[in-house]
Amino acid sequence: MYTENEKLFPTNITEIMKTAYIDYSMSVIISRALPDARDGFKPVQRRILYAMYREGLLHNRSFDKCAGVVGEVLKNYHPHGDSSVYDTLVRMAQNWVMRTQMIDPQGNFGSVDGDPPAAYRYTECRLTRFSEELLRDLDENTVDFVPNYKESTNEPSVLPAALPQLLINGSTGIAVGMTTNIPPHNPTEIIDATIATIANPNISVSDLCKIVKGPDFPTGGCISGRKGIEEYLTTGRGIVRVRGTAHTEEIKNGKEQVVITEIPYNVNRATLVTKIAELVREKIIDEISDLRDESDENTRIVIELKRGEQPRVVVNKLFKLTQLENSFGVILLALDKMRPKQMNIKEMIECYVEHRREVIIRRTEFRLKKAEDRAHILEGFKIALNNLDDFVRIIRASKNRDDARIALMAKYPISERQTNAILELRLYQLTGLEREKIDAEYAELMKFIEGLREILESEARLLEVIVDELKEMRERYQSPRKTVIADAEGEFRMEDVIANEGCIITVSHKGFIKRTPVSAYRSQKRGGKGVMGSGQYDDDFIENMFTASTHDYIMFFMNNGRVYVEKVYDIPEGTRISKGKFLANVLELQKNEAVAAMICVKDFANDKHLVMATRKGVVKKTNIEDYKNYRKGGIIGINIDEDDSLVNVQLTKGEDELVLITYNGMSIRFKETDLRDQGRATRGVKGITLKNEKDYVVTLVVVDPDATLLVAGCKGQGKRTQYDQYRLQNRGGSGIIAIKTAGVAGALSVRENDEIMMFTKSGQAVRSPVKGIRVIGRTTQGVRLVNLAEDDYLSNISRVIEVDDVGGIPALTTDADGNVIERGYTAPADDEGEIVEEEASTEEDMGRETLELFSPTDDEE
Amino acid sequence: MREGLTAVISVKVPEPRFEGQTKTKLSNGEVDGIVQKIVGEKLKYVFETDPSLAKKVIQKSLNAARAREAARKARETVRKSAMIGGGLPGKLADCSEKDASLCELYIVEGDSAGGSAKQGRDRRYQAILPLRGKLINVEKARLDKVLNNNEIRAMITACGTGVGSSEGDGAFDITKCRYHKIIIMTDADVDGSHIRTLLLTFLYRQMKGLIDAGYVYIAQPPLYRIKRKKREQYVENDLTMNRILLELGSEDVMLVRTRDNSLFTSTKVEKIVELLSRLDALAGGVTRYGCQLSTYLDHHRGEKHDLPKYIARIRTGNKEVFEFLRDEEERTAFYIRQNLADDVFQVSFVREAEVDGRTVQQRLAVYEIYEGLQISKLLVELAKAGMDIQQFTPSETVRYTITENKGAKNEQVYEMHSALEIVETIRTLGRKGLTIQRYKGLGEMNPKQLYETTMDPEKRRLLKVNIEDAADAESTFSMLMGEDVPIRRAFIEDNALNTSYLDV
Repeated sequence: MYTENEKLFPTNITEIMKTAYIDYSMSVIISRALPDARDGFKPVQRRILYAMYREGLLHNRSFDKCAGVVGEVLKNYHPHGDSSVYDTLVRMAQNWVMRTQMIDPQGNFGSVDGDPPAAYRYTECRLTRFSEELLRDLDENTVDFVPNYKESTNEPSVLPAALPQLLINGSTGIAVGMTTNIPPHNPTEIIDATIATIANPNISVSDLCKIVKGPDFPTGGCISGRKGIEEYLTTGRGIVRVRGTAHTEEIKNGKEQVVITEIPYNVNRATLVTKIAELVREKIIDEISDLRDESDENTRIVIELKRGEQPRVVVNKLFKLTQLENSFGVILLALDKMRPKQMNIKEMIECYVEHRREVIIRRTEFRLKKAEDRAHILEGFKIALNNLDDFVRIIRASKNRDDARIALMAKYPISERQTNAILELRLYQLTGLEREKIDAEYAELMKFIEGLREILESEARLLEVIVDELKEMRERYQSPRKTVIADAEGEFRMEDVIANEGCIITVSHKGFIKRTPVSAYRSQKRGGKGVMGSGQYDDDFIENMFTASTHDYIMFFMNNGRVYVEKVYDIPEGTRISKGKFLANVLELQKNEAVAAMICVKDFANDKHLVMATRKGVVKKTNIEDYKNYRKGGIIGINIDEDDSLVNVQLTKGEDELVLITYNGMSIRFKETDLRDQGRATRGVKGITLKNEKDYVVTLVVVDPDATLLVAGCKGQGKRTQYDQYRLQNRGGSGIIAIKTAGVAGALSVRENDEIMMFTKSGQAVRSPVKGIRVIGRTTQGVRLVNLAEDDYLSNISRVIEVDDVGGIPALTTDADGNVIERGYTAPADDEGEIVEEEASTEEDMGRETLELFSPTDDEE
Repeated sequence: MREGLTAVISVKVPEPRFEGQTKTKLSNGEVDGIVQKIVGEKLKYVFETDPSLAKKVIQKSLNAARAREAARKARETVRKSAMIGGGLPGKLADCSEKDASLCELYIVEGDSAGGSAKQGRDRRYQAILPLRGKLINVEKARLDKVLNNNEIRAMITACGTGVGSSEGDGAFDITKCRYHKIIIMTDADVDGSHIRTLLLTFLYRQMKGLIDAGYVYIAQPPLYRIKRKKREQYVENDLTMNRILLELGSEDVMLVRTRDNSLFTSTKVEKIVELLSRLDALAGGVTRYGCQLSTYLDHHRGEKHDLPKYIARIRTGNKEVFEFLRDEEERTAFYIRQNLADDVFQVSFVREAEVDGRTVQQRLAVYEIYEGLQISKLLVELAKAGMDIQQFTPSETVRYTITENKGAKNEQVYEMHSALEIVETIRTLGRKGLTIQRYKGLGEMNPKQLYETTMDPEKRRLLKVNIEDAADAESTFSMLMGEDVPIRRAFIEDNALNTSYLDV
């Protein structure tokens, strides 16, 4: 009814989308978000500076309202939103964003805390001397001017840029399909690098890397690691990690406080403080007692620590958990010949040098033309002055100006321009003194022209001019480095953040693992009913258990011979009754893998060996160093025959003796030296000959002369036997009887003051001192170790901790600094109770908590 | 967990009671608790032991929940509108016509333009909905976030159809559409283009039925207004603008080839000018490397006027020369001649050279001219139109003259030393006496102007959006608006040269 005669143009949606999108994205790429590699400006920045320059807001004039600048930019050059213009202007004035300020601010221009600047009707601004350098020579035809958007005036398409601004102040921009993120650099370094590139155009990037040390942020801070820097300088892409600066101060009552004085670039200080407060509130960092932001124009965030807490630990946590360490992903992307290009540092400098060449050549040509024009006029003057009388005569005789001109030109070889200039001479200029002046000016001009011609003719001279001007700039804008560049402190170590403390690791038959603090288990008398060792699923029971320190490594040996390694602190923590996490959540297990043994080690030093035993009696020895390069997905520990499986692994010192114990109660003792070190992926050699088809190896034990061998049967009986009752044999034999029983549940090397933990199939756990178990002969049945319910049986035994002679508390000594060192730190034991002698942990920060952990609770005794 | 997962549980109960005849549900209360407990325990165990399975199940239920929530929100938006007396968004300026098939909805970019449109419209059947700023990208944002967005909600309510592809209460229903023309009217600048893509993405993803039904249109507001004496004209884009300028410039002029004093007919002139202006547009591909277009053009060869594929730029000291290499073979020859071991294609190579006994730097680079083929074609056509294409470098002698207002008092003659100068002269002539206003936004126009140019059915030129190839459309949207940046980047790089204009 209303639109009857309308003409419609059917168009495919794909076409509309594509054209519209390309229009938008190209515009954003070419003329909005990315800086030009030559002067380092995005259009809006260039327009602001140019508008201010035209408005005469120079550094030695008075300030004027930002509103005026914004208005001028919008009116003549930048037909977009006012906020985008003002935001850009403000950024260029913020000395924590720009390495060298480009706009001199007056009024509130925001802060590091992310406070917004005052509205543009309040603030005032003017150019800085630095930005005037970038605009210098603009009026000498140095760059192309293009019409503005409404073709009412012209604007420069690029600025002459007497300094390599892009690398000095950096730039960030998100275009479509690509982004740029160039960090600020030190002006001196960048100018030096530019000069070096001019001097030797074939300079290598690595040589430039020696001059440009890396980013230099106006906010200071510290860059840890040179790898990222080298990467971005050579390829144009790399990640740099920036840390804030903090130091420790002591306050009155002996407490300490950490003071942050510098924060990383681009980090909002207020947000950082809020984040720290949040972490404290959520008890993620609980060493902090108070937090104050005392910043004025300088950053000062004070973090008061609780008494006795280590500042280093706190600072490391802050690095890890907050933006106090921030990574800066560098992408050196800029427009080169109107096309976006990712460049390395050298290409970027080359773009600038090429630009300067052109600017200087064009400037020289411009000046030359001007000088030659003047010389032309002066030559006319000289002719006139030499023939002064005749000139005066002709002029006097002429009817009018035109007549005079024609007459003069007819007689003398002078151009129209010269004649006009002569006719406009003033009478006083005919005096002798003035004539000399003209001669002097002419001579001077000739020399000047000579100099300009030289620049145009000789490249060396041209480059010299560029370098001289750069040196002048360096003199004026050199600035000491603000950001420190330090070697990487290696991978950030979790150990610095996590206290070293003792804990018990349990692994159930079905593969549920957890870590529990030692204090969660109580000590009981022999024969007691025990506490619930663990909460687990009905048909599950604890199969492996050992004590460890949180900083240790646990090696998981699978029944199929694979080995996984994890840090103890990575094992999920649980309470005594929690069920734990399934192993597959902790390790990247393969199908049908089950844990055969676990070894806890402090490191992979080559003075230790691993001896493995399989169900079929094969043994193998490998240096532990071979396991140093473990992978998340596991590595091969031993090649296992198809119908065999790994039963146990022991850590040995090279001179030990070993005992293999079988289900049927047989045992064989042999020297470790009987085995030679083999590689990781080997099969091993025969350890024991199994007489009975159904018999199999239960475990492997290391002989400890100060200890006895505890063997426990499935029915809950067991006994201790002196090791000397087991005579040394050659490996490979069928061995001697170890216990008379229907089936061996486990065997352990135990000392007098040890305690053992016994696990039953139903999940009962009994903790009992070894003292109460009688030492008797080899071929006996032993005593009752635990009261078993009907149809329950003993599934496993494990040594708990070695209690020190001094009444169960590990003795403490102090070192020279007065720090407490733990001496007899309980050696971690593996699942079958082998003692692993470990050096005492000397971590200063272990503190008293560890001490309390290891004192037994005596109330049950 | 309400959909997508099924479990079979076998329960033995002494006295089963069922709900309904079909025995769809067991109603013994005591079983419920037991089953729940056992299933819960076992599920926990299964999830614990198989983390990847657990993840999948959780992902599934999350997605389902999100979709449910989104659908609910959408329903609410629609229901609300039904309840509260129209409940239309406050910003919508509705029309008085009630018959949806006659109504039009203009979705306008920004309040500034919205005002103009509101005042200029025919309020009997034209409704205006101004949107603020850039619309959320539906392709990237999560659905619940999208549906919470005010601008999106305003559009949903205004259209009245509901969103999504699911069925049931609140789902998309084309019959409820309140307008049979939904017209996207954005500024004629690049941001307008962007908003257009964002709006189309939303409509395509959430209200595809509108496009299928042919209800979606795109308005074409003018980019320029030109005024000559009393005559006014609106121009949609730079392309037309250029054409108009050249047309105006070619009016009442005579183009003469001075070589033989031959006069070109006015149709020829128009053709020539058009070809030359296209040539002009391609010039950037050559001048970008510092080489004059005319120098390059003079290297055409053969009947097809083949142009060199590569330009070698050699700067020795302060002097710069260009070599023109026809193909890969010549390029290789150039490398050998210059004694170059490295490939200097698109990269500069610097070495030292001797000139007059002085050591200077020599910088070499080879660039590919992608525009060569297109330019060659233009040359062929120019030759057909009777132009001399032998030499483009300006000559000493005058090659062509253009005479304006021949015979009249204000006759003026322009001399040209190269054919390339013709376009610029014509364009300057066309510009003479013209007032050109470039619109940066719709708000720049008076309401009346906006109506006349863009909204008046008698004069407007609407693009009717349709989907020609569903698969193509699908992949275009996910490529342009989706998460995958590299694909988008490749697309931009491949197509950047075809861009119709760049904003200032």
